[in-house]
Amino acid sequence: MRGIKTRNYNIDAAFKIAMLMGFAIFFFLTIQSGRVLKYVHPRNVLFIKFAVIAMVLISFFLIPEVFKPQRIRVNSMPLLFFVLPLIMAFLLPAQSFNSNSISYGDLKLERNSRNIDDSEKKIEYSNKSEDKEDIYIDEYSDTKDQSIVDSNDSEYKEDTYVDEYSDTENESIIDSNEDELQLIDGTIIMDSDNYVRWMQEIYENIEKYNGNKIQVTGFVFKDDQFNDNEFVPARMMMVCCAADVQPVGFLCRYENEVELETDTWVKVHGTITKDGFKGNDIPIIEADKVENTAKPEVDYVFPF
Amino acid sequence: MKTCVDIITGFLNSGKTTYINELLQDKNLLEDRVVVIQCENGEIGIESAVLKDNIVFINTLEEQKDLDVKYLGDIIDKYLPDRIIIEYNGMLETEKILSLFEKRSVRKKCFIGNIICLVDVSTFEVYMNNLGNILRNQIVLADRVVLNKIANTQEENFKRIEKSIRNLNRNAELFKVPLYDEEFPKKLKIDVDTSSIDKSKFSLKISNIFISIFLMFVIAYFTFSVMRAFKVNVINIDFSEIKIFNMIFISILMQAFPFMLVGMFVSSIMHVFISNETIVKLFPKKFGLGFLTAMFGGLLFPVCECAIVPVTARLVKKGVSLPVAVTFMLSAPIINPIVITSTLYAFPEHPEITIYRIYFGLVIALAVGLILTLFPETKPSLLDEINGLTCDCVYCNLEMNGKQSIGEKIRIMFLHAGEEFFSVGKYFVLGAFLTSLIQTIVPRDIFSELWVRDGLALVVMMAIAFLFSVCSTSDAFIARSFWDRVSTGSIMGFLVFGPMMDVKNLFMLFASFRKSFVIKLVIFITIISFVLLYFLTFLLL
Repeated sequence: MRGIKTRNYNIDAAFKIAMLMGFAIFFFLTIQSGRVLKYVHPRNVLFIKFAVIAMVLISFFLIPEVFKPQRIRVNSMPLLFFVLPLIMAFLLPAQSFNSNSISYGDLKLERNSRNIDDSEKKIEYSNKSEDKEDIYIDEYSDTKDQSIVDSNDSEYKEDTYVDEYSDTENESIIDSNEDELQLIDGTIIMDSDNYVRWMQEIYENIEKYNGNKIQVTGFVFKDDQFNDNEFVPARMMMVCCAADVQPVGFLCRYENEVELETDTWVKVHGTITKDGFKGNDIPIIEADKVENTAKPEVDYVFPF
Repeated sequence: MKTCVDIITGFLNSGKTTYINELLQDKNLLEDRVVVIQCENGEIGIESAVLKDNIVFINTLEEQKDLDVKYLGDIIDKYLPDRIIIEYNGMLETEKILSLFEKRSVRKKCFIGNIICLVDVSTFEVYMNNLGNILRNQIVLADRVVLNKIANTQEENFKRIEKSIRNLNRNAELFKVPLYDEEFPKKLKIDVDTSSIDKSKFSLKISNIFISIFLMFVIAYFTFSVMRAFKVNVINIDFSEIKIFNMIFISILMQAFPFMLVGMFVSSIMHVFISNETIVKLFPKKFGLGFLTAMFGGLLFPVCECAIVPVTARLVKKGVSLPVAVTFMLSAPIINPIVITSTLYAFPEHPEITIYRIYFGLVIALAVGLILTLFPETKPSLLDEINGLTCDCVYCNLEMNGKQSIGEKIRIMFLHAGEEFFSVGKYFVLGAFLTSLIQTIVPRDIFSELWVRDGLALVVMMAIAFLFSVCSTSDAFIARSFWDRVSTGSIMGFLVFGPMMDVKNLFMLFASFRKSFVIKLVIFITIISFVLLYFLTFLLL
């Protein structure tokens, strides 16, 4: 007996439905469990919800097609491209980056490479909010990237351009948030919500906050270029998605630094001091007390 | 047992009846009860020699009946055939008979075997010009295309025809027959049995090499997962790298899929609800105004570069001047509102990237258009028939004929969007995969040395854009991941050159335009993009 041909059922359509529903379910589950924030910036969540609805609708319209004869023979092999991400998405757990993962090809520190050596120029050209976003990470990587002078040049020019285009918008965002940046009993308490804003604020007004008490939570980040008593209680900052996370934080001096294990979460109580690091004046925390603490629920911080 | 129905399509005089005669003599059919249904009267009848007891011959024209659900059902009930061969009327839409087989009652009794399309090569071009739609449908739907009467056709001509048929239907078997009528070639083995077995075997093509690499990766990946599950640490592999890769890969997909879907829906809505004629009317014939419309037309006509080539080809065919159409082709994918939005989202803290992208895109598009005006094409740029115009999408190709209700249109709109999602999405998944791989395994030091020089970085980024073929609605997110490593100028290379020219666009261009023109165009675009980006970047950034 001759087998019933695939032509009579549209296998291709069935496969597509499986793919679409697979992605829709995965997206739905990640949103449901909040894991979505390990992958993308919160502002993308709304779009992902739309995608879920769209995919379900397309699958819905595809269902009748399965039971129609397939008219044109199509090569279903390219659909395999979609299988791999699905398998990966479901099998591999969402994972947060820590300093360990960064060490792979220095994954996420590069950002800084584009703005070293410009701090003075930047200050000279503009005191606007935008470029601060980049400066505060300078501390990590100065030495490494001396070679990239060319690109720095263009970067710094670009930075001044940034100001022209986006000042108003950025300032308004910062203005609207300003009232949230409040000292509690004269101490700056940085938490997940105001982390990036506080960093910008303090870098912008080092003089104003010099000597201020501060409380920071972050994971211990160490680097070869730090002195023995230096570490960073860092947070991972996500600008857009997991492809661009990078550590941010204040350099911190603590005499018992050796006792701190890399990647453990700590709460640092200390004082902000303005000090030189590799030739730049940056805010540094002189730690009085460092205590272990629990990992926060959302371990990334998001600018904007 | 269900009846197997073979359908023979083709125009009058293309050799359908001769083919059926031959088919009936096949040894494999000797035992079967066969019903032949003819829907038209050709010059040649079914040979009486062939007529045996187990073959029933019906002509719908003589019986003055339409081939419909009831008629077909009655035939099956009456003769209980093992096989039905339908010689279909060449002037009717093949679509019509296929829709018969969507009915439940028909599906219970029979199934479609092979659809065989006979093409008379000597008249192919005449029919293509006059009855292009019907012929195209016949070819697209066929499992097997028999090229008939090739003896009288020049080699060069024949090659072109063969190519245009291949363009329409990549999967069908092609048979060539020198002169069908006079001497039926015994070379043509009509292997009924194998032809009715599903041909879903893996055929080894070059395109499949990539797939096998992909499969190997999947297998390797599974091995890793299993090993991890059993905590076998025989080989000390660090899985965190795979995890990082996974995170980057999935996150790129997660944020780009929604934008892709928006793009697909918009283009599907336009495709289904707005006719091409309306769009063509929008382009003024006046030269300067034409360029202006072409540059900013994309704002109102939001298609990404994945859909732009067929549109451009159609614009040229409808009389829009070539430079204007090319300008439109280059600028529309960049000035597309969805592209602008996604670029803004990908570089939230650097809105100037979006502005540069639009600016460079428009300047380059205009420059290429003007150069084409200065060096006008002497020969026609389009291929004789615009094969590329048939959309890849199964649904619109077949169902866009005639008027449909709103509900039906919405259904097609969704199906079309889904189809596009998969056809375009695969390029995107591939692009995201490679970027994540680069991000994970290539140490930064290599890049900083390779990409120190702006010029070289620009070339590298343009090459990546070309090879990745990422849809312009989502390429900003991929560009984003290069952000740390290269200068803004090189990012521009990726964002501006990518939508204008990439591998998949190139293939689509070759499908609709003459080869020499495409090569010329590619060279123009590449050189102009590089020079302009290189110098403008210095001036501006």
